[in-house]
Amino acid sequence: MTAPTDRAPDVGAEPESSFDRLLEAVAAHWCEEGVRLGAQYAQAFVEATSHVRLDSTVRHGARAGHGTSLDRRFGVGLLLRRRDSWWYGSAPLAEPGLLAERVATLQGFGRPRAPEPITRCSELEEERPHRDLYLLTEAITRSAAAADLSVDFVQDFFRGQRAVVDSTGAGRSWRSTGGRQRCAATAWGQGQQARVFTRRNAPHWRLGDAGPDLALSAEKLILSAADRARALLGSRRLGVRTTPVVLAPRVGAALLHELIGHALEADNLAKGSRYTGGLMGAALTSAPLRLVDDPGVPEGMGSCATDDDGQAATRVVLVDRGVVAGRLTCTRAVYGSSDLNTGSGRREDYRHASLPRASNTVVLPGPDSTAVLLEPPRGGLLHVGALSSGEINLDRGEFSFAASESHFLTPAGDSIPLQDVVLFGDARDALRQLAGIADDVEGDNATCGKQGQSVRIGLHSPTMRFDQLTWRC
Amino acid sequence: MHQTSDRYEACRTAEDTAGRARTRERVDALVLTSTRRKHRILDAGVRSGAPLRNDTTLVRLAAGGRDVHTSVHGTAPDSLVGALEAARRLLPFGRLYAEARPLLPDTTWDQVAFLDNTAETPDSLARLLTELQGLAEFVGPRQDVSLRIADCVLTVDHRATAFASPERPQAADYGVTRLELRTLVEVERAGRRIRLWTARHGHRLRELPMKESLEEAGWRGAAMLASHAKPGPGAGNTLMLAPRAAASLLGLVVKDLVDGFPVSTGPFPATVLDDPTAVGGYHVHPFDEEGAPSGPTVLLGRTGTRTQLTCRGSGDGQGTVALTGHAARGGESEVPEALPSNVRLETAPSDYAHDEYEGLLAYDLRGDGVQRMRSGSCFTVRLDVARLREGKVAHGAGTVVLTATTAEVLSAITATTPTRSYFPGRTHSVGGAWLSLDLSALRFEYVA
Repeated sequence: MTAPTDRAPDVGAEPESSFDRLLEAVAAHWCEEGVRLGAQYAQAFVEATSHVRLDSTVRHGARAGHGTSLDRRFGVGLLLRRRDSWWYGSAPLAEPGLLAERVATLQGFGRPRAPEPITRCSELEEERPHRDLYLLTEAITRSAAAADLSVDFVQDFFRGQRAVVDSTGAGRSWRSTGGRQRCAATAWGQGQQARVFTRRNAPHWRLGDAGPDLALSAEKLILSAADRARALLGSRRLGVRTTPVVLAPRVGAALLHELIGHALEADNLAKGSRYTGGLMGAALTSAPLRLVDDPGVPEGMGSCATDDDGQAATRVVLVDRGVVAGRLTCTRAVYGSSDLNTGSGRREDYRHASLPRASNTVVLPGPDSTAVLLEPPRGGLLHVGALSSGEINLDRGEFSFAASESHFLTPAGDSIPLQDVVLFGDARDALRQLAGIADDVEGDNATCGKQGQSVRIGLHSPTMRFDQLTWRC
Repeated sequence: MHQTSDRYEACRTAEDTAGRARTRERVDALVLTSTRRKHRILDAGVRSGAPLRNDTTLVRLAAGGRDVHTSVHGTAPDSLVGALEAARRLLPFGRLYAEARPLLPDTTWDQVAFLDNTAETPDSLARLLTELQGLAEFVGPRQDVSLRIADCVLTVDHRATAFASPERPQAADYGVTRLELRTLVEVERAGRRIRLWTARHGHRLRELPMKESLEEAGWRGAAMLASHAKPGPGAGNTLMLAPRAAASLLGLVVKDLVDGFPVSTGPFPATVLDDPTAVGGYHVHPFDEEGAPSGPTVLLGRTGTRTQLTCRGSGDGQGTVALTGHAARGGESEVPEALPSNVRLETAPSDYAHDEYEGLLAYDLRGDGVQRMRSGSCFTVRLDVARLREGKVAHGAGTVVLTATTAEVLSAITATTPTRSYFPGRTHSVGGAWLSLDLSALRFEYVA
């Protein structure tokens, strides 16, 4: 067993410290024990992450709630290949004996030696919060009151140190930091309510640097939400329609992430369902769609240099000029085959084995003009400003997506506000309708769920037009 | 009796943690332990997985009128050393908290009513399969289908919870067994077969509503295998929802009530009740995550009166909060929010007998996931519907797309049976019962 050698710089990377080395040593220890006890393959993932969250609630102009919390995930996960099947176990770093006990229950395996418990703070946790952090809460209350909104605002700070060692000799450790702001704002008027969601993330946001920049950003998010929420008041119901649909920047990536991104994750693709079977190499659309998974996007919520299997995270072209060209893999997905490991293994935390997942789903700029894409035909078009949530059945390819903010644009220049429009249909049919891609790419972030694990991802895309999609409002 | 040792261990950890407060600090500690094990039960025998242990210690550190919440995986007392250090650094930016007093007296709690220490014995597991097979033979012919148990997975989760604080240096505790029974049922009619999963939840194996679970498989299977025809004008205005579909619809109503969506004044034909002590409710507890006693609370009365659930965070540091015993973590944050536990509808008891029902039955509801993050006050769901004659599926009737507000749904209720099963989500459970809606009061359309 070799010690960790191959280190990759990461977003927010910092010089290696004694705590990094401690985590590496723990990972190396568990990996060595797995191999010593007869595993065909062993991988140990160790993390010391700490997520600080500040919640603020403002109701009708008055502060109504607040909360400060710290979610610490200090633990080790051990992945073993034995008797040609996978096993995964985990334990907190303070209770390594629990993992030893779990391994010992495996038939034919002995009892591994447990390392010393780790109970101390990580180095990243020793950073003191910036003294002006209170300005953030003040800014939230002030802006929500000024805009006469009810606001639920969340400020997250992420900070983590991780190490992976596996029995092929690979070993890496890395740090990550960053933050995210999320705002849900509700306005009332004309006998209606309208709720709008806005968010922003930045890899440089840290508790210790949290000064006026954060407060300013929060204020902008709230005021933007106020404008957008008011624009939705007076919304109408138009029933079921099939019309051209134009997705605002950021929105297309969210839709394509669900429609095609998940289907191109190696584990989903391998199921060979009615929807995913024959997807590789298939022509999805005649539009020049180029969809990539890019872990190197500056300020991307899912950006990373190393995946959670300790492999170099690579940019993967999923769709090239409308044709499916690539898929996302991870160490487990390619084990025992000659398939390329794209370094797309991601996990929620040490309690889960990694899965092939997206980092940042990116639609590259296209040749079309935004103004042309937005021209409504005689029957009008639906302009979607934001999606809220959605589902796809990866067996059948049926999808259903809720657009929280939309407007129906008519040739006469009217813009009719619509709330909670549901886009639905067959994913392959919908993709065939893609007709235009502009070059005004913007970025967003989201939390993506798969098999009970949530990870943060980036979504980046320009304005996109579909010729015909069916929707209900 | 591992429940006893788990609860003892949880109490000791909670007390030890609460005792780590420094001068002028207070530490409240909630310890949750869980030992979860899956058993796959087949004709060939039972395959049991290894027990999975998952423990969490939730700590509230308070000083100088502010508090910070933190959680630590595991129950090792030393693991809190680093967590408390990190939390102390955040205290100047912690939440301003109000004085709080419990609204309810300590709940009378039967310490064994929600436990099942014999669910995992070989006899119990073997009997379970035999019983399911017997029920399948009984239930299938009533829908003119044959039902076969193709797979059966029982998950048993023994949980222990303990809470300690300066006021409760000797920890309060309770234990709960959570059972999930998932059954893969093969439904056959005239040589055509389909397989579908059905699930029910509860605390004691003998009390799981297994018959209801197989009846649901019978409805769904028979409807999916039957020919389909759009309901004609004679279909009537009544739509009956089977328990699982009714629970999904009620789940959207509950979310609106908890999120504070405005609901017009009643009268409503039903009361929406939250019951932390409901038999069969997955989220039962005698006290909440802040140690406040819990009890049944009317979320929405028939006149439209609403009760605000509370926790220490309610009121933003102003005045004194009367705690209703509903503090729970919502999933993302470690700060407890005021959340329901087990919610059900209460109406005058109905003498409805679903095995003789004539009319439209909604056996499945889709789209509730999409509708949970909405902009406006209306939700839209798709209900898979079958036409029933004398309690049997005559033919599938496509899908009803229903658009409504919470108030409209509640106003359209014409009858409901007592709740016999709860369908759990992450933070709370929703009761499922046979629920009758007056469609003429709602916006809907039939689609193929």
